[in-house]
Amino acid sequence: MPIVNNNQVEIPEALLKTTRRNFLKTGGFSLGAIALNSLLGNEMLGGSSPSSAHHFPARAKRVIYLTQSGGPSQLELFDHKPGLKKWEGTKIPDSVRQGQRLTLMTAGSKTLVMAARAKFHARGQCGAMLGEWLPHIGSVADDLCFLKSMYTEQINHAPAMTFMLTGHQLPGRPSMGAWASYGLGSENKDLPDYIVLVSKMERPSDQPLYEYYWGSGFLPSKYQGVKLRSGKDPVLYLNDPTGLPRSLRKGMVDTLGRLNRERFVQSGDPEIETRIRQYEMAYRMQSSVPELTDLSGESESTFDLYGPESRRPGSYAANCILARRLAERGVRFIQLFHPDWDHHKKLTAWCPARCRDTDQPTAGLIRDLKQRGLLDDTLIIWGGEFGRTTMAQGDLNSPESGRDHHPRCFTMFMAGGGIKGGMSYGSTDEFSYNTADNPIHVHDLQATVLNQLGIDHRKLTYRHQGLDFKLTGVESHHPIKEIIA
Amino acid sequence: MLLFAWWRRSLGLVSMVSWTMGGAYLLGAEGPSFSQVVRPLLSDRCFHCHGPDEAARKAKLRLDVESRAHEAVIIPGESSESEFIARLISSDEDDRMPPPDSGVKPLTQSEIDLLTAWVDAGARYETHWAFSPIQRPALPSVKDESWVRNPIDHFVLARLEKEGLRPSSEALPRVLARRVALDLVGLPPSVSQVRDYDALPSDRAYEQWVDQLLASKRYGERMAMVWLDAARYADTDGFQADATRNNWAWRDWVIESYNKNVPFDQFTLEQFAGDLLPDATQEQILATCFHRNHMANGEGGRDPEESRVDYVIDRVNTMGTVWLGLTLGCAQCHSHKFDPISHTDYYQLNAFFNSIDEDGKAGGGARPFLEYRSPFAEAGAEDAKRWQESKDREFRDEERSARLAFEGWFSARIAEVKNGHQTWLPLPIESLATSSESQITRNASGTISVSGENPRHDDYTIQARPEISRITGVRLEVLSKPGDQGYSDAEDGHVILTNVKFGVRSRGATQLSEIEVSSAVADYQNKKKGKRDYGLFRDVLDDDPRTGWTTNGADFNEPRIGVFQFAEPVVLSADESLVVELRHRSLRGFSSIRHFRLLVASERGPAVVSVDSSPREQLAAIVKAGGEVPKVIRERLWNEFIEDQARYKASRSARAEAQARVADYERASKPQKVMVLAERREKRETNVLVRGVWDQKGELVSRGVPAAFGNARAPVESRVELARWLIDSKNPLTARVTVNRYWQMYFGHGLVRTPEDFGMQGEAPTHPQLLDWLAAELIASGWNVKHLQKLIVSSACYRQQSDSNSELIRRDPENRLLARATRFRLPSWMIRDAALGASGLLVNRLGGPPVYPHQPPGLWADSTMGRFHYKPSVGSDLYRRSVYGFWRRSVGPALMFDASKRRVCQVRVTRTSTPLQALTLMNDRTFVEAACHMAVADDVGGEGSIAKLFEQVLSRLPSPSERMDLQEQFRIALAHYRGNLAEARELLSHVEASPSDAELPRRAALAVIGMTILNLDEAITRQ
Repeated sequence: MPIVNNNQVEIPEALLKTTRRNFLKTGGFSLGAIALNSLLGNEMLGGSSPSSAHHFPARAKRVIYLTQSGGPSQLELFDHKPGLKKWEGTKIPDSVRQGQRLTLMTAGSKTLVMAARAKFHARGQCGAMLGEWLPHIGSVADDLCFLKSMYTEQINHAPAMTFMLTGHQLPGRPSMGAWASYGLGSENKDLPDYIVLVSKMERPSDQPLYEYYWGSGFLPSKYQGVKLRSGKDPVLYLNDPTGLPRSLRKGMVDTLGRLNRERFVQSGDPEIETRIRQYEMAYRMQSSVPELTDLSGESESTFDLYGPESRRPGSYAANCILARRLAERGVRFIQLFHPDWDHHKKLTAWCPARCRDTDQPTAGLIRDLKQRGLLDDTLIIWGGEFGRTTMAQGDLNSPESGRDHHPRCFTMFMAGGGIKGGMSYGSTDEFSYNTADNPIHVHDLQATVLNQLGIDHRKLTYRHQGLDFKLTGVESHHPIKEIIA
Repeated sequence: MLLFAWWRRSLGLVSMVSWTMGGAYLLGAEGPSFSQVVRPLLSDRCFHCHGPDEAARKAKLRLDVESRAHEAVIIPGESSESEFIARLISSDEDDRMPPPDSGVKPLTQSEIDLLTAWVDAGARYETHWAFSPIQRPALPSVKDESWVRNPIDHFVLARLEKEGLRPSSEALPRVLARRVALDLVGLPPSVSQVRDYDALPSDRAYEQWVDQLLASKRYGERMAMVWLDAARYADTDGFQADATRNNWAWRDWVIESYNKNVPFDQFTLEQFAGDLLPDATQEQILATCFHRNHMANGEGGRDPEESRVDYVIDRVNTMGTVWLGLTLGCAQCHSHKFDPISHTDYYQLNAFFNSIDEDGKAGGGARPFLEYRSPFAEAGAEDAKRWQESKDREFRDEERSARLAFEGWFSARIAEVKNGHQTWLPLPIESLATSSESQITRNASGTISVSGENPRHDDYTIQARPEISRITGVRLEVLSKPGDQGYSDAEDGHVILTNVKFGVRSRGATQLSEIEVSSAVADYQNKKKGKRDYGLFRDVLDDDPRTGWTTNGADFNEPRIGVFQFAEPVVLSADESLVVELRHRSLRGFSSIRHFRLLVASERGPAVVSVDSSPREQLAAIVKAGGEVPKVIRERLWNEFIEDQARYKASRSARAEAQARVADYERASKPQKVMVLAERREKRETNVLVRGVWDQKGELVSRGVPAAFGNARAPVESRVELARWLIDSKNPLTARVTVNRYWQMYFGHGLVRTPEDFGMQGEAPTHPQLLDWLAAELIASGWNVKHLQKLIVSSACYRQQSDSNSELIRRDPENRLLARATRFRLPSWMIRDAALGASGLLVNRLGGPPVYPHQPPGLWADSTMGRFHYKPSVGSDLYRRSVYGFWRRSVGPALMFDASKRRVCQVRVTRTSTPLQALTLMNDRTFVEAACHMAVADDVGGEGSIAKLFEQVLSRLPSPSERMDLQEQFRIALAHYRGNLAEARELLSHVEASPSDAELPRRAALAVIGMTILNLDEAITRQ
C-alpha cells in the first residue's frame, strides 16, 4: 500500500529500484557497456566511479567543434604553396589529377591552376605559415595543431558533411556528439549533453544545415543535439504560454509529479518515473537555459576579446562566448555551425567575409578558455567538410573566379584537450591536390576525438538492424597518435 | 541461469521469454536449439567471413549451409574431432576464431560450451523460421479454458501455463473502451460512449463498440498514419531544394482504402502495379504513388542518373522492409552477410523498378505524373469560402470605425502643419568610428565626412541619440565631394555600399539588440548584371559583401538618397542610443562613402517607404497654398494613419489570409500532378552495381526474385508478377510481417520485436505458433485487415489490464509473455489528436490538401536558414487531424517527437522520454488552446468542472485524492488570477470567445487545470 501523506504519494523504494533497473537494462535498446556504466552509475555497479565509464583516462572532458560549413579553402588559409605561382594559368598535370571526378559545376570547363589569392606569413614561435585573412587565429598558432592532410570520400556538401559528422554519407547514423553523449552520459543535470549553435545569417544560406547533422540516428533521441536558437525562445517550447506565471507552472509540474506517482503505484510502469524526472528537468531547463544565454553579465573585456560582432546575439562570435559558458557548465559536446564557406565565385570577397566572421571570435575563444584553465581539458576542432580545388572555377583573371569542391585534401585544426600545440601534421603534394605524408581519413579524425574523450572508437558500438554500428565504420582506422601530447 | 545471462548481454536480442523458460527450452534432448541459440551465435560471430557473402568469405569456408559445414570442419557428434571447435578454443592467437584482431566480439567460455554441446548432439541445422512455409498450427490445449475468448488466447495461455503464470484480470470497462478507441481510431471516446459501455459492459456491447470504431471514418485516418511512415510519405522532396510535391491525393487514397477495408493483397497489388492492371482506373494508377514517395534530390552539381539509381534502390529497400521484413539494403554493396540474398539477387529486384519513365529529376521535373482531380478538396473549399465571408464582414466593420476615427485625426494634422512640416529630422551624433585608419568627423552643418586614408574596406559606426521619442525609419543622404567630383575616392568616384545595420544599445550594456528593417529604397539604382552584383539598394540588408548598392551610373551633381523603414517603430528609453553601421566590403574595394548625412522620422507608412515627400509635407504645402486637399494626399495620409490602428490591421491581414486560403483550395480542387509509376517504352538494362556505386556497372541481370524464397509459381517478370509473388499464399514472409505490424499496434511491440528484420540477425518471435496462426488466418480470410484487427482486439489477451506488480516486472519486465496488456505512451501525433478530440476542438473533415497546424514562429526559417517560411493555417484547418499536417522533410513537424523522419521507410516504433517532449506538451500552442477551449466551453460552475475536464480527457472520474489535489491547484490559480486579470485575459486570448471580466479568473484557473490534465502520464498513454 502506498503511504499517502500531505497529498504526497511515496513509492516503495524497492519497487522503484527494480523497475528502474529493469527499465534501463531492457528499455527497448541495448546499451554499449560504456554507456550502461555511465547511465547506471554507482547504484548499479557497486561503487564504480563515473570515470570508469571510460575505456582509458580521458584527456578531454568536452569538445567544442567549430564546424565551418561549405568547405573553407585550404589554399588561401593554411596550405602554403608558393611554388604554385609558376603553374598559374596552366593545366594541372594529369599525373596529379589522376582522373579525379569533378562536380557538374566544373566538369567540362577549363580548370586552370590558380595560385593562392592571399599572402602568407610565419606566425608564432612555431612559425606556422598562415594566410593573411586569419590574423587572429595566427596569433594563437602556438596552441594549434594543423591537420594538413585531411581527406574525405564525398564531393557534395550534404553527403560530405554527413560523412564528417556521422561517419557515413547517407543520413540516418548518429552524429559524433550523439555518440559522445551516449558513451559518456551527462555532467550537468540542468542542460542537455549535446548542444548546437548555428550562426544567424541575414541572407538565406546556400547550404542548408540539416537537423540530422546533430541527430541521434538510431540511438535513442535523448542523445540528439539540442539546438539553441538566438532570440527569445532559445530552445523550442522553452517559454511558458503568455498569461501563465512561473508560480503556477511550478504548481502544475508538482501536481503532475504527485498524480503521476499515484499512477505509478497503481500501474507499476517504470516509464512513469522517467516521465516525472523529464518534467522536472524541463522545468529546470526553463531557468538554466535563459541564465546560460544571457550574456549581459559578461565583461567589456570579454566582448573585446571575441570582437565587435560578439555584441550581436546569434552571431558566430556571440556563439563562441556561449560555447565557453557551456564548457564551464560541463556540457559534453558543443558544436557551432557557421555556414557559407562555399566560394565557387568571388573568392576574394566571400572567403575573407567568412574569415572576418570567425577569425577573432575563434582566437578569442581559445585565449579565453586558456586564461580560465579550461583549454587543457577542452578539445577544440575547427574545419569544414572538404577543401577547394587548386584550379580556378570561372575566369582565372577575373575577381569573379573561385574554387570548386575538393575532397582529396584539406586542412583542419585542433587545440587543447591533450593535443600538441604549435605543430602541423601531414602534408599535401606541391599542388595541394593530393595528400602526401600521413593522410588522415575522416574516420581517423573521429577516432581521435573519441580517443581524447577516453573512448576506444572500436568499442563504442550500438546494435541496430542486427549489426553492431560504430561511428568510425567497418574499415580499420586509428587515432592520430603523433598529435597527442 | 548464469548461462543465459551472457546470452542476453552478448546478443542483446534474445528474449526474456527464453530466460524465464530456463534451460529446457534451449537445451532439449537434441542439444541446444539451432534456431534459437546456435544460429544467432554463428550469425553474429562467424557468418561475416564464413556466410553467404562470397566476396567476404575466408578460407572458402561456409558455416551457414549444413552440408558445407559438415564437409569441412564439423564432425557431427564428435566435438573433439571437429576443427570447428578446435579453432574456438585454440590458445594460438593466429588460429583462434573469431580472430582476436577482427573486431568481432570473442566467444565466452559458456558460448563455446554451447556450440560444443550442439556439435556433440549432431550439429543439426534447421531452416530459418521466417523462411519456412506458413502452416496453420493446431491450437495448443490449455488448462483454463474459461479464460479463452478466441484462438489467440490458446497460444498465449498455453505459454503462460507452461511458465506457471496467470493472465491478468480484464481491464476496467472504461480503460478498455478508451484503449480500443485509441488503438483503432486514434482518438479518445466521448464521455457518453464511455459511460454507456461502463453501464453495461457486456461482450455484445464490446463487440458493438469495436464494430462502431472499425466503421468510423476516423479508422482510416489512424491506420494511414502508420502506413505513411512505412511509405516514407512527405509533402516535399527532401535534400537541399526540398521542393513541394502534390501527392496528397495518394494519402487520401490510403485512408479510403482502409475505410473500405480493401484486402491487403489488393492494396499491395495496386501500389506496386496499379498502372499495369487491365483497364486501370485513375485510382489504381494513383495507388502507385507509393513507390514514388522516396526523397528526390535536386541539388545543383549532382548527376540526375545517380539520383535515379538511388530512387530505384529506395523502392527495393522499402519493399524489403514493409513486405518481406528483410534488410535487403545490405545487399546493395555485396551479398548479404547473414541472409540468403546475393548481390545479384538484389539487382534482379532493382530491375523491376529500373524502367520507370523517370530521369532522376526532382520538383516539377519528377515525371511520370498523373493528372488527378481529388474529390476531397471540395469540402475544405466550401469551409474556406464561409470563413472568408465572415472575415470580410469583420473587416468591413473595422474599416467603418477606422474611417470615422480618421476624420478627427485628419483635422488634427491640418491644424498641426499650419506652420510647415519637416518629416526627416537631423540625428544628433554621440560618437563616430571607422574600422580603419581613416578619419571620420562631424561637420557644423550636421553632415559627416570621412577623410585621410582610403582603405580597401571600411566600416563606419555612428552612435546617435534622436530627439524624437519613436523612430520609424532612417534616411541616408550620400553627398558629393566639393565641386561634384564624385561620391568616393575611387577612380570613377562611385560608392559601393555592401551592408547597413541598425541596432539599439543601452548605456553600460555590452550587447546590441538589432533592429529589423522591412524595406530599403533609393532614388538611384543601377541595373544589376547578375544575381550577385552591385546595384539594388535593398541588397545592403543581406549581409553579403558580394551584393550591395552602387551609385555607378549616376550623376554627381545631387545627393543620392536611401530610405530605410523599420519593421516596427523603435521607441528608445532615456539611456538608449541608435547605432547605425555602414559597411563597405566590396570585391572592388576603395569605394567607401566620403560625405553623408543621416536623418530620422517618426511617421509610419508612406513617409518611410519612398524617397518622395511625406504625406504630411505634402499636406503642409497645400495648407500653406490654401486649397482643397487632393484625394491622393488624403489617401496617403489614411495609409499613414492606419499603420497605427492595430485592430484594423489585424482584421485586414485576417481577411487577406482567408482570401489566400480560398485561392489555395480552388487550386487544390483542380487536377493535380501526382507522382506515379509508368513504364518506359523501352526497358533499361540493369547491371549489378559494383560495391553499390551508381556508375560502376557489373554483370547484366534480368528481373527475378531471390532463389532462396523460390516459391514463385510462374516466372516473375513484371511489377504485377512481383506483387503477386509478394502476396502469394506460399510466400513465407509477407503475411507474417504484416500480422506482426498490426500486433505491434495493439501490444506496443510485435511478436517479432524487430519488425523490420525477420532475417538471421532479427529477433525470434516470442510466440512463433501464434504468429503463424495469425498469418495463416490473414491469408485464409482473403487478407481481410479489419477481420484480423477485430480478432486481436477481441481476444482475452488484449482485454487484460496493463497494471504490473513487482512479481511480473521481475519475471517479465518487457512483457514478452503477455501476462498483462502493454502500457505505452501514445505516438506524438496521437497525443495531439487526442487533445483536440477531448477538448472538442477537433475538426473532422476527411482528406484534401495539407494543412498547417501551429508551430513555434520562425521554425522553418530558422532551420532552413531562411529558405522556407511557415505560415500556420487559418480557420478550421488548424484543428484537423495530424495525418493532414504538411510534412516538410528538411524540417519535420515540430510537435512530432519520436516520429519517423519520413526520409526512408520506417516500421519500428521508437518511444523515448526527454525533457524536450515535456516542454513541447506543456507549451505547444495547440495544447494550450485545447485547455483554454475546455475551460471556456465546459465550465459547468463549481468544482464539478474539474471532474468534467478530467473525464473528457481520461475517460474516467478522478479519485478522491486526485480530486483534492486538482482542487487545491485550482484554488491557488483562481486566487492568482483574481489579482491578475490581465494575465487571465492573456492566457485566454488563446481562444476565440473571450469571457467577461467576471468569468475571467475562474476560466483561466480552469485552463491551468486543463493543461495539467492534458499533461498527465495517463492522458498521453494507452493503458
